[in-house]
Amino acid sequence: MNFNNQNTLESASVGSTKNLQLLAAATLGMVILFGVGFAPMDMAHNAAHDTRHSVAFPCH
Amino acid sequence: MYFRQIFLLACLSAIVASLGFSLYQFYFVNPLIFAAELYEIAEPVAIDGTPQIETWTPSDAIERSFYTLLANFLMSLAYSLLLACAMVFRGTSSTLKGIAWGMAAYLSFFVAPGLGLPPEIPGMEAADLNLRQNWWFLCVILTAAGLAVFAFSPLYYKGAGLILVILPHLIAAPAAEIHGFSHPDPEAVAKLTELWQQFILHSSIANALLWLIIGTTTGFLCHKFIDYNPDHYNSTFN
Repeated sequence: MNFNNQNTLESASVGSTKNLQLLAAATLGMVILFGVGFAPMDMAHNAAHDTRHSVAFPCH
Repeated sequence: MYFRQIFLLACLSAIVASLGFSLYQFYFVNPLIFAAELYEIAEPVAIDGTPQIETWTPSDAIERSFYTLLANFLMSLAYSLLLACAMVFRGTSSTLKGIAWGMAAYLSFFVAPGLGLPPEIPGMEAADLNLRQNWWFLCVILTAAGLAVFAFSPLYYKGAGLILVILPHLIAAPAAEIHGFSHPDPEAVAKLTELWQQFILHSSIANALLWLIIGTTTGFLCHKFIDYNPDHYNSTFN
């Protein structure tokens, strides 16, 4: 019984670490997407200009 | 170690996807952008005598291509990270599931926002940039959420998914005061309109290709390196 409880607890904590790691990776993805596609600085816009047009991000 | 594995597999997927996308882009999409730029009217120079600050731009064609390649890679990496996270969060993966996820992402990130804000070539009149970006985000999030509800919820709730997909189009994308091109020469406007139609066609194909590669590779790699990873298996079940 105890063993089972411990097992459940462990898998629950692994589950929440998994979700935390997925959240971190998705956040990184969104930060990169913002930098490439939406950052308002002229330098970022000029460097990624053709990419922004090709993927139809709002540009100019 | 989900984070590390997702990051590494997203890098691999992004290398393949950005190469495929860039090849298509360099042959079919970029020439249309360059042709449209020839018609772009220079911004009026400030007349009050304040010195214009020159912002950096790539100096020649090679430098410009290099930065486009880099931006393509980073954008593919971001898309692949998001797709892998969604797929792993949802459960197990496979190449076929990856293709389905990729097509759903194509609808969410390209087709749905493109219905309100069609792909643009340089020189087009458009509404305020901030408004367009906000609507773009809203449309992508609602379409993705709607498709997820439609795919994963019980039959009874599927209608809610459809409502979410339609909602951003009911709100309506910000529209420009003048539609089309403000170029004074009608011949140039006719040429630009033709370029624009070709651009919509080729950017749609390029993005479909991008998401097909991202979906296929991310699905395959998630299946290979996450579903059957002994570390995850042991830490979950031992």
